[in-house]
Amino acid sequence: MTQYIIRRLIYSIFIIWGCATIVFFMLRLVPGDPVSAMLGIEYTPQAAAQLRKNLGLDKPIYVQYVTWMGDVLHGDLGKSIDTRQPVTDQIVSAFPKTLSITILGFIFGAVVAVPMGLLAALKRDSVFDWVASISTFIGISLPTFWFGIVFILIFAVEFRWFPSVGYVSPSDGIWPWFKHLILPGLAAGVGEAAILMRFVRAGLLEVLGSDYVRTARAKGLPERRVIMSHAMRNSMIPVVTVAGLSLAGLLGGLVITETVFAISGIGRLLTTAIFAKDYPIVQGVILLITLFFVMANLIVDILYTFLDPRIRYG
Amino acid sequence: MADQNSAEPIMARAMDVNVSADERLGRLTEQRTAEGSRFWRRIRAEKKAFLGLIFLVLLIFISLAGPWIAPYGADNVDFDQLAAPTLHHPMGTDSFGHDLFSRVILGTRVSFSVGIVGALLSMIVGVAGGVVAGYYGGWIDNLIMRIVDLIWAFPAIVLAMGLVSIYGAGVRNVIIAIAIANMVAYARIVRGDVLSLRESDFTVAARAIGVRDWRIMLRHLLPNVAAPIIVQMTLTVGFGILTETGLTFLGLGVNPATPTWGQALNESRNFIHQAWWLAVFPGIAIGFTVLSMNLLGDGLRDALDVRNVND
Repeated sequence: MTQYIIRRLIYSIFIIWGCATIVFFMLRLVPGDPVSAMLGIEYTPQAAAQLRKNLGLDKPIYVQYVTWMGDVLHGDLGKSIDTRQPVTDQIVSAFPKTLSITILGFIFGAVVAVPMGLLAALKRDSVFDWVASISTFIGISLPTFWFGIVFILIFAVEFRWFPSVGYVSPSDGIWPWFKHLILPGLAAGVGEAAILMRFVRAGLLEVLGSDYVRTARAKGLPERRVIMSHAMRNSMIPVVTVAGLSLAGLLGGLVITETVFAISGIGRLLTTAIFAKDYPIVQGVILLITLFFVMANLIVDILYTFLDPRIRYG
Repeated sequence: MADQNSAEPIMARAMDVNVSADERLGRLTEQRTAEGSRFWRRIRAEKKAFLGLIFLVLLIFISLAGPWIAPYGADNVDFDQLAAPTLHHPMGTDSFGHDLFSRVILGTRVSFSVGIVGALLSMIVGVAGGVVAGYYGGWIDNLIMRIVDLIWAFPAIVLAMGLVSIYGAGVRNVIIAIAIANMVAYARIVRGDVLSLRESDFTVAARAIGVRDWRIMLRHLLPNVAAPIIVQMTLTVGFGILTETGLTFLGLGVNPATPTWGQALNESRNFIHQAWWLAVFPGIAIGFTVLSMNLLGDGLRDALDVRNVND
C-alpha cells in the first residue's frame, strides 16, 4: 500500500508539472502578439517593449520556461498587468472567500444528501424514493449559478432574510460573515446534494443486497443494527470518493456563482482577468484550481485504501 | 455487449471456408443488427429513457421551428419594458421590451446546437483516441492516456474559460472548449473496452484472416463499444449546454446580441428586484433541456446495461 501511495504521489507531481507546462504555453498560444492584446489602447512601442521585458517574453523560450517553472516553485506567479500587484497576493486574498463557500456548500450538501439518500434506499420504490430521485435529476440539470439567482430572488428580495450580494470578512464578526455566505453556500450545496444523494442511495442498496447483510439478518440482529453497524459503514466508501471529487467540482462551479453574488473570490478574479486580458492572473488562478483538483483526487485515492482494506493496488 | 454464450457459433461462422473472408466477417457482425431492434424494445421499456426521448424530440422541434413558433421576432421591441407576464407576453418582457417567451424559444436553437456540436466533436476525437490507444497499446496508448490525464486535471469550466481567454469568446470557441473538456471521458471509456475486446475471438479471427487494422477498429471494435458511447454522448450534450450557458452568462460565450438563455440570465441580475421572470424562465428552459438529456442518458444506461462511466 505504501508503494501504491508513493507511486500515486509521484504521478500527481508529474500531472501538476504537466499542467504548469500547459499554463505556461497558454500565454504563448494567444494569437498574434499577447503584449499588444494586453496593452490594448495603451499600446505604444515603448510600453510593449517594457512589458515584454517584464514578462520575460524577450528571452528565448527555453529560458522563459525554466524561469517560469522556478518562479512557480517559489510561489511567484508574476505580477498582474492591471494592478501591478503580485498575482500570489491577489490569489491569497481571494482564495479564503472561495474556500469558505466551497466548504459551506459541501456541508449543506452532505447534511441533506446523506439522510435523504439513506432513507430513499431503505424505502426503495416508495413515494419518497421517487421524489428524491426526481429532485436529484433536477439538481444536476440546473446550473449552480441559476440556483444562486433564484435564492437571491426568494431569500433576499422577497423575504429579506439574507443580504443578496457581497462578502464580509470574519474579522468583522462571525454572524455577518456567515450571513453573506449562506445563499452562495446553499446554491453550491444543491448540485452537491443531488450528486451525493444518488451515490448514498446506490451504495446502500448495493450493500443491502450483499451476503453478509443477509447473514446479519439471518442471525437475528435487529434491523437497526444491521443497517447502522453493518450496511452503512461499507456503503459510505464510494460516497467518500464522490464527496472528495465533488469538493473540487464545487470549486469549479463557484467560478461562475461568485459573479452572481459579487463575491471577489478566485472565480471573479479569473473572470475579470479574462476580460482585462491580464494573463498572469489567468495563469495563476487556473494553476491554483488545477492544483486543488489534482490534490483532491490524490487524497481521495489514498483515503480509499484506508477505508476499504480489501482494495489492494497492484 | 456481445452475447457471451455465442462465442462458439461465432467461431464456426468465421471458420466457414465456403464463403469469402469478408462475408465471414459480415456474419460475425450480423448479430449486432439483431441487437439494434432489441435496443428499441429496451428503450421503450425504460420509462426514463422514453420520457427523455419524447422531450428530446420536442426540443429538436422547437429548435428547428423556433422562428415560426415564437410569437414575436428576436428584435421585436415593445414599449412595455420589464412587463410582468401577461397573455400577450407569457413570460414578460426584458429591459428592451423584447418578448421573453420568444427569446427563450429562439435560444433553444443556439444552446442546443452548441451542446450537440460540442458533444459530437468531443465524441469523434475522444473515441478515435480511445480506440487507437486501446487497440495498439504500448507507447501510443501511454502517450494518448497521459494527455487525457492532463486534460482531466482541469475542471471543465476552468478549461473552457482558459481557452476562451486565449482565443476569445464566440460560438466557435465555446464549441471547441466543450469538445476538448469532454473528449477525455470518451477516450477513457472506449480505451478500457477496446483493451478487453482486442483479445476477443472475433478480433483475433479478423486479424488472422488479414483484415487491416483500421477496418478492425471501425467495423468490429466500434460497434461493440457503441452503447457506452451513446450514453456518454447524451450526457455530454447536457454538460455542453451547462458550459455554454455558464460562459454566456459571464459574457464569455455566445455574442450578447444573439438571444440565448445565458444572456437572459446575465441581464436578469441587473433587474433582480423588478423582474423575477427574467431569471426564472430562461433557467427553467436550461433545466428542462439538460434534464431531458440526463433522463435519456440515464435511462439508456439502464436499458443498455452500461456500467457507470465515472467508476
